[in-house]
Amino acid sequence: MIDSIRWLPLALLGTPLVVGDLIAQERPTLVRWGQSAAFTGPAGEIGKELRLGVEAAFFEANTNKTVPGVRFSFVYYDDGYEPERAIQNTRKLINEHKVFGLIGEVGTPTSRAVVPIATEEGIPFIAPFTGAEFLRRADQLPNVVNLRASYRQEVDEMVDRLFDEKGITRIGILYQNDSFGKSGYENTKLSLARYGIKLVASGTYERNTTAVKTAVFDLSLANPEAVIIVGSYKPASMAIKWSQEIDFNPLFFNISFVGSQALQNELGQGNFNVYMTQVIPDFMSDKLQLAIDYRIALENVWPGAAPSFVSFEGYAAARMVVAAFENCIKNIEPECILDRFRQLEPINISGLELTFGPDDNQGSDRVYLTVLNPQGVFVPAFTLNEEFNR
Amino acid sequence: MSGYWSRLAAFRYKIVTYFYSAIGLAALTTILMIAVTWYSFERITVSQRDIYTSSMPAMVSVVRISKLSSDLVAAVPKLLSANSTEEVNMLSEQTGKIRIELEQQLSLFQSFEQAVEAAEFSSLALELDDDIRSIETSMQQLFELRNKLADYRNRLQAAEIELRRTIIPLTDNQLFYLMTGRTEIGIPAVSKDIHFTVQEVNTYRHISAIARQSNSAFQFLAGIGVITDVAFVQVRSELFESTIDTMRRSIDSIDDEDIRGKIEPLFERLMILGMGEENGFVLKEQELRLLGLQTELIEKSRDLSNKLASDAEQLVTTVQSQATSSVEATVQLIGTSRTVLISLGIIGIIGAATIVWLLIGRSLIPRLQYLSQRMRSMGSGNLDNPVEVVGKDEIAEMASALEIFRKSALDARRLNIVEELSKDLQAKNSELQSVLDQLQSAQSQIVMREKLAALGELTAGVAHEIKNPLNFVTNFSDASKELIEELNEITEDKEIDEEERKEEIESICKLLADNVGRIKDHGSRAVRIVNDMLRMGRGGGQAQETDINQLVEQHAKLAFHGARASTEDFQIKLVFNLDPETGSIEIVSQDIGRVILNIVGNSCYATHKKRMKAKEEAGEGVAISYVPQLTVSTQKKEGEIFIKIHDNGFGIPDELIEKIFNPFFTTKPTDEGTGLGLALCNDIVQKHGGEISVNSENGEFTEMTIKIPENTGKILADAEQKDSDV
Repeated sequence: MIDSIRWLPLALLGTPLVVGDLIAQERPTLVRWGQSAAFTGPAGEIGKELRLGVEAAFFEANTNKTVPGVRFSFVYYDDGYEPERAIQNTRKLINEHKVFGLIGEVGTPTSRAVVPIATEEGIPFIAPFTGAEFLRRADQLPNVVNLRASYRQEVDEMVDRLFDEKGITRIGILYQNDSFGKSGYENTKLSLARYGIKLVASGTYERNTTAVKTAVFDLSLANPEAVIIVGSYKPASMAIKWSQEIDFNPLFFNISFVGSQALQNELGQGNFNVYMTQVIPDFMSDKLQLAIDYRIALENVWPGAAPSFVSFEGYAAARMVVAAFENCIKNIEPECILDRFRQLEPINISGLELTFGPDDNQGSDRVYLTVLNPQGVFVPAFTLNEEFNR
Repeated sequence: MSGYWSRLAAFRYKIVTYFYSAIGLAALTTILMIAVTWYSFERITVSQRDIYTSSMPAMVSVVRISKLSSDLVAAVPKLLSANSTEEVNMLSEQTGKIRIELEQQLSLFQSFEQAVEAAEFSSLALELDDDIRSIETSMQQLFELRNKLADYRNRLQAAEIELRRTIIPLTDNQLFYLMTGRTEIGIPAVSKDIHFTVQEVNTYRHISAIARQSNSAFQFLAGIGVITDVAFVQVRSELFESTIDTMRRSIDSIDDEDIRGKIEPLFERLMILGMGEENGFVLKEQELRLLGLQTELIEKSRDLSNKLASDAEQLVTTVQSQATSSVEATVQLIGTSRTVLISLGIIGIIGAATIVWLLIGRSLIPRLQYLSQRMRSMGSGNLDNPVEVVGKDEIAEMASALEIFRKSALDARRLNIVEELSKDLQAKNSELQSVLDQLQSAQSQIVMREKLAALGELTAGVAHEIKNPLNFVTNFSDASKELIEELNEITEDKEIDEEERKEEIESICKLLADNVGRIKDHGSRAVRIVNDMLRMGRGGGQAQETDINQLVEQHAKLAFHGARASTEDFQIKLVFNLDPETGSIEIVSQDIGRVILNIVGNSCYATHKKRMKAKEEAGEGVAISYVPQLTVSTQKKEGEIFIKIHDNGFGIPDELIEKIFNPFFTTKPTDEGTGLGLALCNDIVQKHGGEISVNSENGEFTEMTIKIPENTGKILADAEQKDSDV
């Protein structure tokens, strides 16, 4: 069950530095963060990527002593995208590892299973990798802080772009047959309802399977112009491939949860008319300082590791946490950190401005539409008509 | 022996005796207390030993038994709440230990006279122990079963996932193939008459049915977990079997070997899970039966436990009451001892206090207070009352010592008074001294006056003496004057011849010479008298070697002359009886002379008065027989010179003899004496270290004896030295 427990700062900094630190100054307060996420299974790549980003940011903070007197450490367990295991992991992290907070939970059903535990224990639940609506209810979940925009916002962005730029109204949906997929389905219906449109087709598949062919066939019968996929990269890529196989060629719009890197790896090169919404800015940007910081930090920790949206999200999430700690140097308590995320004063992490408020536990509202270019890489899609403008 | 008793009797009254008796009483009380304590301890020891040898071990044993039995009782819920075989084994081991010790304790306890109860208790405990062993066994079985069930569930879960992962894609693939004729990406679609056939539709229908039926089958199998009644197991099992039958038919209906080959193993697994050896239903049934058995055992053990607990309690209570009675006896004994000790202590304290109070409070303190008060009063000078001495003890000794002290103090005070008196005296002396000085100056004046008076007295006689010669001188001077005139006439008378003249002148000159001779004689006589007087008046205070006899004679005669001169018809027969041996001594001759003068003068006066009185009594012209006589004698005897002046005057009355030397005492009429004569005489003689003594018979005689030591000169010199020192 235990996949890995890593004492990042100690392992990476090495003994001489630690001894030097001990002699030089007061013993720093160790702040331990925990992550239960999928590192295996159809969503495993997402968890791994996310973890890299978080580790890179914490390593960077420890090295630069961004928060004086505080040393971050990081413990994580694999839950395989299964709610039961996520519960077990979370209990272990809280009771055995006495984590300060939880960060980077992957998925909606897992988050739904774990959040009540964290809320009951008063443990901060930071930046889950999901845009599920229930996590955005700041009044009910005082310990939850989101970084990314919600699925609803992602779907809205897709629908808006389809309607505005292409005038597409025939839209179908392929979703995972669970709470995640259903919320995506509901969101899409609501989003379309804004334009008085109804879904023309829908298909489902079972979680942790790639049995999507029936769903693809069902969708193809209705022949929508665009299909919104609410699922993970494996079934999504399978669905896209089979659609193409049977000459069903709508525009595929993936929700950010799909995992861009994994998806592009699965699909490989070729024109698939595959779009994807991102909730994180372009990680390869040279204009955004956060992206530059991220690439440096990632290279420092995992030399050779390919940057990605998911790991960039993990990095940004940890940076957000570190920024909140900078406001709580004298009072390193969960209450103080959480309180920082209830203040209207924006948190600026190297150019990325995150805004919170008493009723707003979501830092970013931005959704970025990307498109898979012929080289099999997701790039910003400035317009739906203009193809591969990068 | 009697001495010893008297000593003892004397000792009886001493304070020490009181103290010793008080201490003795205290010691006696203490010894009594020790004795009582010792006795009590002895009794307590016996009692405690009884407790230790009988009650305590029994108590300990029964408490231990109670503890062990409660441990035994507690073993049941512990066993029931055990989570693993290891835990049951461990608990079983513990229970075994408890069992062994309980047996030991019970056999031990049976030796403490509670054989019957112990035996009953023992059988009860053994019964419970058997029960526990049964529970242990059943628990072991239960764990075994549960392990199997857990394993079964894992197999079930794995089978379900496998089935799902197989059936779902099979269904998906079959449908997609049925509709599109495609099987793999990249492989072109087969023609519709191949893929869209009745056979393919039936295949899809059967796969879908199998998916549904397998779902139901899994539901039945998963539902086993929630069955609590054995009766339901069979029902569920039958339902599962009918589902399996249906599944079997569906599988058999599929023509596709490939698909059947995929489903068959899963179906086998499902069948084994629900119908094979140790299938879920069997395991569940066994578990439920085991739980039922356990419930019975638990019920039984609960009853046994309750009984055992109450029995243990009963045992504890019995032994406890025995121990309590033993302890109570001890406590009572200690209580009694305490009361006796406290009583003794109080008696001792009261006795000692009473003795001390009687002695010190009643006897010593008042007496000491009395003594201190007396001392204080003595201190303030009240020494008159004697100190009361009561009793025979140390305080009495102290009182008598104080009395001695008081007496001494009294003496001391007397001495003190004398001293003060002497101080007063000194003051008075100095006062007197000044008075004396005044007196002395007065005295010297008086003496001078006396001298002058004496001179006056003398003057009468002296004048008479001088008058005669002076008369002669006058007369002869007158005669001589006439003769000178006659001579002058003759000388101038020319009528007379020379011869005649010559004869005339010669006879006149002879007469003149006679006259001048007579004037000279009488002048010389007057000069001599005056010289005597002068010698008397001259005050030379210097001591000088003086012939006593000559001095006495001279002054006696002078006094006689003075008396004869101043007194008419004075007669006295003066007799001198002077010892020629007397010789000369160093004296203030003038003073001693005055003494003689005074005393002789007094004798003259006394004899004269007596004669006059006799003459007066006899009447005029009648001769009297009384002849006044004054005898002056000197004598030297044993270094002292005696001058006696004896007269046969009227003497001195006895009552006046003592007063005669007092100053200003006189029997003479006021104008005849100063009263200082004899006082001065006495003074003078005393100054010379001698004394004047009087021997007189009233009307017959008076004899005054002046005694002067031979060495009076030295005395005088010393006195003078002393005066000069002063």
